[in-house]
Amino acid sequence: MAFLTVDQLTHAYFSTDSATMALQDISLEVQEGEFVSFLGPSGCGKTTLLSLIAGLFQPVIGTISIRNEPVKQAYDQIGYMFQQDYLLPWKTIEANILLGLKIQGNLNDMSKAMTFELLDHMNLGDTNKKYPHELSGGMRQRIALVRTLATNPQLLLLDEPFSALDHQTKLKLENLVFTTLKEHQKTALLVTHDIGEAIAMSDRVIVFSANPGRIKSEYTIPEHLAKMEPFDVRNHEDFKDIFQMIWEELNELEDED
Amino acid sequence: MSLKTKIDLAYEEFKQRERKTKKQVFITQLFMLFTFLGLWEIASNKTLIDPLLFSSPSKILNLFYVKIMDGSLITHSVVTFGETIASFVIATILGTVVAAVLWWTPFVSKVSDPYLVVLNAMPKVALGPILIVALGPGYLSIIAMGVLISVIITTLVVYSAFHETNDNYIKVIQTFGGNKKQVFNEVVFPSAIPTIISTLKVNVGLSWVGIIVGEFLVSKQGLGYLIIYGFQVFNFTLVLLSLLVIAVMATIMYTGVGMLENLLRKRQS
Ligand SMILES: Nc1ncnc2c1ncn2[C@@H]1O[C@H](COP(=O)(O)OP(=O)(O)O)[C@@H](O)[C@H]1O
Ligand SMILES: [Mg+2]
Repeated sequence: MAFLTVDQLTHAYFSTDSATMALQDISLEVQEGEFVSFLGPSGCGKTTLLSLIAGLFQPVIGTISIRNEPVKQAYDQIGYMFQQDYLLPWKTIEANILLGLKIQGNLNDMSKAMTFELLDHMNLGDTNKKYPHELSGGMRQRIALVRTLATNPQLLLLDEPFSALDHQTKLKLENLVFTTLKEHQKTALLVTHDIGEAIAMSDRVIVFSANPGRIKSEYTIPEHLAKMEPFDVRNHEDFKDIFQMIWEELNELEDED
Repeated sequence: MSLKTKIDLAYEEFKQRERKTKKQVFITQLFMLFTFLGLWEIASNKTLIDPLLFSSPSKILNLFYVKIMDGSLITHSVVTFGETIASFVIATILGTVVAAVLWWTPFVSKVSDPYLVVLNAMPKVALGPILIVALGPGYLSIIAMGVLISVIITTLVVYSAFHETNDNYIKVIQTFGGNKKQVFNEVVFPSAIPTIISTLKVNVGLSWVGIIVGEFLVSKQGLGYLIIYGFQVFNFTLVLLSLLVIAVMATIMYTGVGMLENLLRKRQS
């Protein structure tokens, strides 16, 4: 049984004067512990797909299930990371990372201790009493990662979480997120428009085409690369070939438009 | 000389210049005040201006002393101050609560939209006589006047702050499975606090208008009453004294709210 099943999903946004088709007939399965990337031009419905999986709103047609359970009730299994950290500026780092536990009513000494341990693990243990604006972008995104992991979700939804960072920080964070998720055996979906990042981090890359968003093709990353840390994958000789292949595929998509 | 001491020296010089400017500004301000008072006094003494209409600083000071001694000025001031505080606290809380209801129920918000626009556009003091008939000629009407004048604008401003909360913060709460109440408590309300504080500032001014007008109409007690009374018996010294006291008290309240704002800013930013 697959961990996540998306079955014939179609979604459109409605407003009084138009209906925008965002996703059309998406079906996919993700196995437990798998890392899958969604790659595609902006506006192809990647964020919409993650929001639907997170259960933020319901699809017009189709179903999403986690272990055969509809996502409406699966928020305690899902962790979401956004393009920016969106740490609440009026709360201390401590209050920010405990937010999910508080909302879900699971705040106790043990869950607190585990969250602080996670923060220590990211070398940010001394930021507890600080406010978000006192920290750099990279630090804040790492704290957002702690906030997401604090509720111990099984499935991580990562919506371009590195795109607002400078290149150096981005490469470091790719490694950090990769190793942390592998360590805790999480299943993850990563949205990105960076081909290299998709190859470096995933077991599988799914390419989307736009207008409306549809699955165009799928690449399985060879096992030896999939196991490697992202930074090493980027430097591996086999990386270039896969990059080239996906690059051409995406170019084709652009020409069709 | 090392680079560090050079910079330190330049910095010292900079600070000294700043201090000097500050002192000069303050001295000029004092000078202007005393010149104004002096010219006023002389003009009034030499009847260059009508002393009956414009009074004079010494007369005002004299009256101030008399009114403090017989205790009446204190009573009137306390009444007005109390009414103003009451109306401005009530208006802010009421406006925020109504804004929260509007945010919570979009249907109610859509339905009430045109009514709020009309109420906001309407000159609220025109409702004064109706208030007095409805609530009787006393504190209640006066405070209601002060509330009425600022509550609608508070509602509109705070509601729009609630409404414009960054969607992504709301999404953070929702991805954790947070319900509407949690969204409001964790994100919508705290992110609107700076706006609520700034409406406090506006409400201080508006409440004074409401209260003074209310006291004009009710004419029993308070600084507004003293102004009307002074006007009726042609005692402009009394009018000017009341005005001065109002100016001082309004400034104190405004500064108080400003300090509250700074305190919250520091804790929030
Ligand atoms: N809240 C919304 N209301 C209306 N249209 C939307 C909304 N969100 C996204 N869309 C539209 O849906 C399509 C897919 O958007 P999105 O999922 O954000 O794409 P991506 O994340 O791949 O850039 C786009 O055409 C976008 O304009
Ligand atoms: Mg997106």
